[in-house]
Amino acid sequence: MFASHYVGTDLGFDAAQIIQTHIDDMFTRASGLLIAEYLRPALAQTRRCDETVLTILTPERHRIPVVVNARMHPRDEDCVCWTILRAEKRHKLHDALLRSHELLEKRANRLRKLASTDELTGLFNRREFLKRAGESLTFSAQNGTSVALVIADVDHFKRVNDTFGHDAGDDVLRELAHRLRHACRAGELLARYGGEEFSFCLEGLSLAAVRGFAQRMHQVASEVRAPDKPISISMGIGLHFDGTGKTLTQTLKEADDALYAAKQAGRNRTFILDGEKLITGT
Amino acid sequence: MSPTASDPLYRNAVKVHGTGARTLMFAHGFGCNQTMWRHLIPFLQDSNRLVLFDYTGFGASDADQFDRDRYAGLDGYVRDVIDICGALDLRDVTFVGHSVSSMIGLLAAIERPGLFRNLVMICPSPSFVNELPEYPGGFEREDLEELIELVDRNAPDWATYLAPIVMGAGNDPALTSELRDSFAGTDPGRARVFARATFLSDCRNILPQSPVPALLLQSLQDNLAAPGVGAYMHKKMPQSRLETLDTIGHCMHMASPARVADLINGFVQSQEI
Repeated sequence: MFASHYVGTDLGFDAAQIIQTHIDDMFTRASGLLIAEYLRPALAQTRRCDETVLTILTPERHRIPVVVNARMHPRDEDCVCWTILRAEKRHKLHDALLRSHELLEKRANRLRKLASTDELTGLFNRREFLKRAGESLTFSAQNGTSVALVIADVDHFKRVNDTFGHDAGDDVLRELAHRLRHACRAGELLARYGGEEFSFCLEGLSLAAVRGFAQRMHQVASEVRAPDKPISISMGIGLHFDGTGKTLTQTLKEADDALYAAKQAGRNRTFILDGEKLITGT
Repeated sequence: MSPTASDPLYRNAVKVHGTGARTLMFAHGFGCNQTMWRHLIPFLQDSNRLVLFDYTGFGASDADQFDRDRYAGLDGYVRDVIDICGALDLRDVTFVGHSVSSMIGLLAAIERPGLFRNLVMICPSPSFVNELPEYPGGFEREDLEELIELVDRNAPDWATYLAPIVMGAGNDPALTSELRDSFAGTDPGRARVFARATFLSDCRNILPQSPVPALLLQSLQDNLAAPGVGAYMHKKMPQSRLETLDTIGHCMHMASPARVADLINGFVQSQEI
């Protein structure tokens, strides 16, 4: 092996001894693995290898981070030209990059969570609900599965706010959100849709199961107090069954129309709308 | 409760294939995802129901739910497995784990008796660190830490560096490319967390607690788990059976799927009697 003066002065090898040394013996075991399994095959294939980070192990057992470029000699097939440069500063830069990457990731996660969460109830907010419900509908259209979108509205909520104040109104919403959330099962997604409205996206349920779901939620809501008396909710449901071509907006409009019909019919009930067909629910 | 994003079937992109009476749950190894099982599936799906998934943060899972603290140790991955079994109401199933997932499966089996009827461990290792002469993990701790660091420092090309080490020279280059693409598709930040959990955990002390029969499939040539590792596990684990295959590399389910499937089928059937 031939080596430049630098190998002696900067990499800690005795210039006289280096001639007896095999290149593999200059590196740590982990580096040796990378050289054997990656670098040498790459050299055989492309005749060059650029900017590989490895570790030199000096005769005094010091570890020195280095960057290695390797080239097959243009005329001598048995000869590889190695350029080995110390890389401490590059390591520091890499570490700094990693730290800032992790910091940014943490902040992005926090912002994503804030952007998708309703502050009062801790549920998903309307934006996140629309995003996820849209994904459900796309999946449903592709796979012929059923999705039902539900809008639930607290009956006479204005009376609670007017009589007991907004703090009491917030308490009712928090308590209701908590109970609805615990009553949900796998495949039932809940969000605060706005004001005193909540929304659900139900995946893979039959019409009978959707009715059962509505019953369950009416029961849960009746356990929340206003605080003078139990509250009730009205619900409207839009169906997206068997991969119908309805859009998210259309299905939500049906849920909204069904909710309006439930309110008109005297509240504390659920109506289901499937296209033109209004189905009285629970 | 918790109906929303934390639904493990959504979070872990769970897929179920086949309709057989026996359920096999497949757990991928470090840097991989459920597509790595595609070579094995054709040999098993006619007679079994197969449950596939991606650990949170990998493959088609909901990466937003990857939490560095939860997944810094193997416990987080054990939770994923237990959550999925709970959501699908799985009991008494055969758990097939590749590499680190062998240990994740064993930890879950100990924590939740009845979840698994038996375990299949493909190229398992309870620890990659030597404790010679008793245990030939393969690496001195210093070397292993450095290997993880070097692979990391060679980002963005880390996949190119690690894939040939894991796959082993001598296999079809297309398999190394497939593994490299899988690694490359993994976010380096999450890969770093999983790499440390994978390569720096020591599960040797739980081997004697293995509550169910286990089939250990060991490769004769494996950069990450030498034959001595299989022999050690077999000695420590009650009800274990060791099969050493003359395969190369750490991914025998990709390199020799027919033979691996035969051994799994034979093992599963022998347990039915």
